[in-house]
Amino acid sequence: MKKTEKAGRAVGFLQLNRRDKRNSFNFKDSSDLVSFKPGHVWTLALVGNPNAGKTTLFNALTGLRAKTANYPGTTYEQKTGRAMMGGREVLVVDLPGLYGLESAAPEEKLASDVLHGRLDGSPRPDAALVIVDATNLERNLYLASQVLELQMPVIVALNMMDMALNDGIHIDVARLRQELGCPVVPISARTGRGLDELRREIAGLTAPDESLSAVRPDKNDCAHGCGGCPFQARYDWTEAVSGKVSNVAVARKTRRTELLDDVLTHPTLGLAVFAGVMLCLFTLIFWVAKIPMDLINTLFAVMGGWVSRALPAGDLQSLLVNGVLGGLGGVLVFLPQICILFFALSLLEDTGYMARAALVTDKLMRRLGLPGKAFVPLLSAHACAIPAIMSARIIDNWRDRLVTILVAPLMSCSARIPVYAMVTALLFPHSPLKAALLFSGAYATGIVFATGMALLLRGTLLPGGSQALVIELPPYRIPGWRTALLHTYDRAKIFVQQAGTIILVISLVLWTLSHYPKSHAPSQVVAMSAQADQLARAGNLSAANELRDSAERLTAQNALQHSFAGRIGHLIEPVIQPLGFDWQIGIGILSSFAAREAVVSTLSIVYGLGENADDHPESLYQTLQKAVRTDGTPVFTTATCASLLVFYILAAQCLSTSAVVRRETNSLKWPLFQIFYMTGLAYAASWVVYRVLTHWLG
Amino acid sequence: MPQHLPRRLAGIESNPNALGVKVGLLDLAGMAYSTSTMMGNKSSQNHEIALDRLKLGQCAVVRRVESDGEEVQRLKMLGLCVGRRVELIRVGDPLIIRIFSSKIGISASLASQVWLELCLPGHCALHPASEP
Repeated sequence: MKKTEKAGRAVGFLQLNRRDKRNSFNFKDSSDLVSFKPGHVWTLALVGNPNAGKTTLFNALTGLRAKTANYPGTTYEQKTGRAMMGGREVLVVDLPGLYGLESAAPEEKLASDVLHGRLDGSPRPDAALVIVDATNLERNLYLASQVLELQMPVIVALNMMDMALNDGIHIDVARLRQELGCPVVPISARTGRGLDELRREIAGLTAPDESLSAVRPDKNDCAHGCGGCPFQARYDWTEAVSGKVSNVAVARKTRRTELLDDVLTHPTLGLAVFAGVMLCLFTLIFWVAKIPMDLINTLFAVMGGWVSRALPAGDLQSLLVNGVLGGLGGVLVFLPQICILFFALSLLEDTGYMARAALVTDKLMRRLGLPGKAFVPLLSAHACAIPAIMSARIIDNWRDRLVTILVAPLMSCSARIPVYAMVTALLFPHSPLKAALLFSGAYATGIVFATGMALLLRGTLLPGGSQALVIELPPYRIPGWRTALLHTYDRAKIFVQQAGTIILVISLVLWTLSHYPKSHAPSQVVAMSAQADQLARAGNLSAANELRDSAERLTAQNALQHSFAGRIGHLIEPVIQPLGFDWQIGIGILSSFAAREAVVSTLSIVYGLGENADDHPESLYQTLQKAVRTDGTPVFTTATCASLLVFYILAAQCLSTSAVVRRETNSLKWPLFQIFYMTGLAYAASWVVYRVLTHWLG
Repeated sequence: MPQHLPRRLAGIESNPNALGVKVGLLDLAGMAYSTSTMMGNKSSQNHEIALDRLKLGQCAVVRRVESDGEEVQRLKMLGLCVGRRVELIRVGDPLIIRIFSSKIGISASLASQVWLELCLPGHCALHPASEP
């Protein structure tokens, strides 16, 4: 049998002894397989310590067939995937990593509940696959021993065998099998060795065999005191077992890890390295990501061009080009940044570095009432709040995570950059230095308000300091590309589904609001068109085209003014007037609900500059500077510009972010709270800035 | 040489001049002990010391864990429970310890709730009965 030979070779390096090999192949006797009805799809729960390689094994077993959903009624992600194992279909469920079944941490408790069959809507798994880190048997066997007591078939996958051999650890697999009383398969999930053998064992699973049950810690005598520490007896057992099956006591400490940790966990050096790593990450996000982002923009512009040529000018063309393609482009343009961010973070996590980063930033973040693990999500929020909020899952404590999610959108995301660029150009058109300072000031304002809000939330709604740090620092490992790629694919899918749907719907709604009801072309435009026709007949084509263009711009301006969007702008004008905004800016703010950067193109239409102002931002800025109110005073005074800037730094305008917050908190309460507090904050701060500046500047 | 003694201290043990060093170390442990008794902790004649007072590279065995909060529970699950041997590998806040072959970073505030018995030359906290 070809497959068997392959598996035999694959595990050969793991130094299985002959007897064990024979045992593990006894599945061929098909009478062993009858404990479940044919057609019943087995549910196999994948259980293991964090950092034991659970995700890598899950990906290796299921690959792209995996599906991500939340556990019923929770905010915790459940990854499941169907896989064929030796002719039997098995549903693999990836449980959250945990150290022990008695854990009180919500996500770990959830894993324990699923295993016990205590979670409503999630049936008890048929069997458990416990993944054990061969380089840390004493600790990993703790959880394994608990799962073995659950009265369900259990297979132990002894992962990282290659690493263990490198570290000089030799494990007697047959002996371990005896001690645990369940199949033990040595594997390396990262390289794929031993996986065929593991699949075979899974296919051969039967109901638990009582005769195999070895001595379990719960059956231990009370040699070490029964009344005291409940963990002690179990750990005494794991130490005894690993002492029997391995030579771990003389294991070489991995020198590489020790040397790296001397630097990376150093209170000051570690922070310096962390700053360097984050700098690299941001270079990737803002600089390298620009190339695919420009490509996507170009692609959508070209597609828009095709549609414009293929369809006659009219509502359908406009809907497809501006509504659908514009909306899709607006979503997909952020995809490169999000993919790069998740890919890089996944690689960093896989190397073991992220645990060190959380350690060195912990003291810093603790002053804000947040744990060290909140640093990277908050930093990522400077690219886009959506991946930041999604990556806040690494924070174990729910309150800590919630505070992070609530303040993350205050950080200046990349969608705000065009707005900041517009305002700084309006305020300081001739002083790059002042413009740069204002730009940095905008970022700083976001950070200051976010930290202030974090402290405020800690003092009021979500009281108490952040949870004290307890973090395992796993040995450094070479990251797996496959895991990182699958993780990135998974996150990107969620982004496109969540943000994509929202942005598409909103851009369609906004398109409708700004195109209906139809208004007649103003008499001025009719006159201009007639004049253009005359000029064209006279042979002065360039003048005629110029006139036609301005007639077109005037039509667009007029149409927007009289559309629903224009009416809403007029309607909210009294509310935004105290901030120094007129109804045109009101339309701009309205259009920001699809994406903040949309305000720039909206303003260019509403101030009569046409739809393609993106190509000539300078001319837009000049026009905006000339814009006047009905009484003849300029709209964009210093006070209004500053107020607009502050408003865009602080206001909650991105509904896709709110959708992701809803997904991550599994409630409507928190996204609504976030929208209200941020918008309230923005309104108050803009009002103060406008008042102070108008008073100060006269 | 008992393998559970840290190499450094085990080295001292076999050194004929070890007596002076030994007294010094016992003094330190004694200070920690008197602090713990002042705080109202009932302690045996063992040299009890809080985890955040441990010195770099020092090795000790967990004797008591105060409080039973979520974080402390987590510590115990990670192996920092009564009877386990720990070694301090980075001082400060957070500090880093080694239990089994894993490293764990812990806030000093949590570490101060874990009380240990020091392994000293001539005194093995892990196996007091099998002392040489």
